[in-house]
Amino acid sequence: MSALKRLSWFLVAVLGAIALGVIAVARGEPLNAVWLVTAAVCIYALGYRFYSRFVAYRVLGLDDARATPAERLEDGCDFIPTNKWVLFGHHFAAIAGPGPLVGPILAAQFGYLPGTLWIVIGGVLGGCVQDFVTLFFSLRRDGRSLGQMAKAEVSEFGGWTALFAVLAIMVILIAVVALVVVNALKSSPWGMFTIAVIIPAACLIGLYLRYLRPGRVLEASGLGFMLVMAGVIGGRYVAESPHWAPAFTYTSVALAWIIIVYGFVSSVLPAWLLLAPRDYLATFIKLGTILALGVGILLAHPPMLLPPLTRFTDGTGPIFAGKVFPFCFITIACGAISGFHSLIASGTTPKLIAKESHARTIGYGCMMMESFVGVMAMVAATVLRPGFYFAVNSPAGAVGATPEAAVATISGWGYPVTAQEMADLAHRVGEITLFNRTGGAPSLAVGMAQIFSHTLGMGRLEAIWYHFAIMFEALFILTVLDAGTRVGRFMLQELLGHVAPRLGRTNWYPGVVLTSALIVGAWGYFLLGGVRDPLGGINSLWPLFGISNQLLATIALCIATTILIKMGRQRYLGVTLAPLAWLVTVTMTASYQKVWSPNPRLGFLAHARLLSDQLSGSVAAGTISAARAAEISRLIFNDRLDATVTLILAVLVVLVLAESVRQWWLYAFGRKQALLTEAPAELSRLPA
Amino acid sequence: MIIQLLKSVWSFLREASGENDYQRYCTRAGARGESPLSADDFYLSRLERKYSRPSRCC
Repeated sequence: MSALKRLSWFLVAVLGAIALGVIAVARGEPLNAVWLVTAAVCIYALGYRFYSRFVAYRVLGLDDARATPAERLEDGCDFIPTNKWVLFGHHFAAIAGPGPLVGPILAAQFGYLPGTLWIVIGGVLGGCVQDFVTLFFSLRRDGRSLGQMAKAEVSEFGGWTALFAVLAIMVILIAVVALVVVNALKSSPWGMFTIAVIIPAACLIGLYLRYLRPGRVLEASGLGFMLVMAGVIGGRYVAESPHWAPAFTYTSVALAWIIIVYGFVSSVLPAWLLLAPRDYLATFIKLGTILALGVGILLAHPPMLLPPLTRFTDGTGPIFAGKVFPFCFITIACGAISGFHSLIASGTTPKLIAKESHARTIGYGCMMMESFVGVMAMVAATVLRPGFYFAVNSPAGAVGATPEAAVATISGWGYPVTAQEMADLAHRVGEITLFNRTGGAPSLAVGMAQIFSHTLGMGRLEAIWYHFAIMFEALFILTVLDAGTRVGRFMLQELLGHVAPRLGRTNWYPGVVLTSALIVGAWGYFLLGGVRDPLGGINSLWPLFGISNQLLATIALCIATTILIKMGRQRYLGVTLAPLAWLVTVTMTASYQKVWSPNPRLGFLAHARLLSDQLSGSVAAGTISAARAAEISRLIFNDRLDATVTLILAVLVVLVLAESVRQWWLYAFGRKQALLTEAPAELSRLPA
Repeated sequence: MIIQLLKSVWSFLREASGENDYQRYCTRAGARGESPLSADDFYLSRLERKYSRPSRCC
C-alpha cells in the first residue's frame, strides 16, 4: 500500500475515532445524527478495506484465475456470468427486507447506543462474514444450497435439521412481518386504501408484462409506480370522506384475516400475475427510498432526541421485555447478523458470480449496506421525541388503553408527552391515532416523514411522506409474505412427497392448494395469536423470530467452520468461531429466559401460569363469561406453544452444534479424512 | 457528457432489471446449436426458478 493510501486510511480511522468519542462523551444536549452516521461509515470502510480483505485472501483464498460455476456451467438460464454491480443490486434487493428497518426501531427502546453498536460491530465481524463465507463456499460448490452443504460437509443430520429450521423460521418470519403490516394499517383508511391499490396495480403490470410489452420491466415498473403514487395521494381523499373512510378502516383482527386470505390467494396465483410485478415495484421503490433516506439524513442532519441509554436497559421495557443482553442482539437480527441471509447467499447469487473476487464485494459489501440501512433506521427512530416514540410503539397492555392513561404512564417514566401533542402528530401525518401502533413501521414512517419533510422545505407534505413510507414498507413485506409462503409450500411439498408422491408434484394444483393452505394456516395462527395478545404480539413473536433467525446463522457458521477446518485453515477459525460463540450465547440465554423467566412479561410459561391462575379464580367466582374464558384459554395455549417452539429451536441449535463439534474433533485428530466437496478447479478465460 | 452518463445509467438499469436476459439466452442457445425457448416460456420458467427457493429475505 502506498504511503498516501496508508495516510488516507489512517485519517479515516482518526475520523471514526473522533466520531465515536463524541458519541461516547455526549451528555445533555441531543447529539446530531451526523456523528452516528460518520462513525458507522468509517467503521464500515475500515472493515471492508482491511477485515474483508483479510478474510478474502488469507482465510478463504479467493482466486480470480479459477473459473466460477457461472463461467464453467454457463447456460443462459441459471448460470450466467453477471456484471459485479448488477449482481450487487440484485443481491442487496434480495437480502434487504423489513428486518433492518423494524429491528432497530424496536431496539431503540434501550436508547440508540446499544442497538447501533451491535449493528455496526455485529455487522462487520459477524453478519458480513457469515454472508461472505456462505456465498463463497456455495460458489465453490456450484451454487449448492445451505441444506445441501450441511448434508455434504457436516452430516445428513445437519442437513435435515437445516431444512426443518428453515421451514420453522419461514412460518415465524411471515407471521411477524404480517403483524408489522397489521399494526401499520389498523384504523388507517389512508394506509389501507394505498395498499389496496397496489394489488390491482401489480396485476395490471403483470398482464402488461406478459401480454402487452413482454420484457419491458422498466416501463412497466414506471407505470406501476405512478399507479401506486396515485394511491398514496388519493388515500387522503378516502380518509377524509365520511362515506369511504369507514370502508377502509379495520381492526387488527379483521386486518389479520384479510392478510391471511390475501396470503393464500396470492401464493396460489401464477407468479407472473401478482408476485413478480409487485416484486419489481417493491425493489425499485425500496432501493430508491433507502437512497433518499440516506440523502435526507445528510441534508437534514437531525438531532437525535432519544437518549443513548434509556431506563429500559433494566428489562422493564414496554415494547418487549428483557434486558439489553440478550434481547438487543435478538431484536436486531437483519441489520447485524441474519441466518436467513445464508439461504439467499447460497441461492441464485453464487451461480451468477463471474469472478471469485466479486464474492467479497457482493457477500461482504451487500450485508454492509444492509447494516447501514439499520443505522439509518435507528436515526429515523431517534428523531422522534422519546414521549412520541414510546406512545407510538407501546402496546395498550403496557401503557393503558386510553390516550390519557398512556400519556400519564409514559410521562411518569420521564418522557413527557400529552394527548393533544399525539393528536396533533396523528393529524399531521393523516392518521386517526398513533397510539399503540406497535411493530415499528408507523414510528419509522413518522421518523422518515419528518426527515423527508424537513429536506427541501416540504413540510406540507408530511402526511404524504408518512403514507409513502407505510406503502414502501408494506409493499416489500407483502412480497416477503407471498414469496415466503411459496418457498414454504415448495419445501413442504418436497417433504410430503417422500410420503405421498403426488403431493410432491409442484404442478398438481390440488397439492399446491393444500400445501399453501397448510403453510398459510401455520403462519396465520401465529399472526392471530399476536394480534390478540394483550401484551402486544411483538413482545412474543419478535423474539421468537430473532431466536429462530440466529439459529439459522448458527447452522451457517457451523458449516463454515467445518469447511475451514477441512481446508486446513485452523489458524483462522476465529473468523467464524467468534461470531458463532457469541450467537450461541445470545440465543441460548434468550431462549432460556423466554421459556423459564418467572417474569410473566418475559417468560411464556410464567405468563401462561398467571393467566391460568386468573382464569381459575374468575371461573370459581363466576365473574367471567364463557367467551372471555375461551379467549384466555387460547392465550394460555399460545404461550405454551411459543415456549415449545422456542425449546425446539434451542434444542436444534444444541444438536447441530454438538454434531459439528464432533466432526471438528474427528478432523482435528485425524479420525476422519477431510474431504472437501468443491467443484473441480478450472482456469478462467474471462478477463479480470 | 451528461447524456452519456444518462445512457450508461439507463443501460445499467436495463441490465439490472433483466431486460437483456432473453436476448443473451437466445445468443447462448444459438452458440450451442439449441433451439431457444419462446420469450414467454423463458420468462415463466425464470420466475418459477426464482420463486421456488428463498429469494426475499426478512
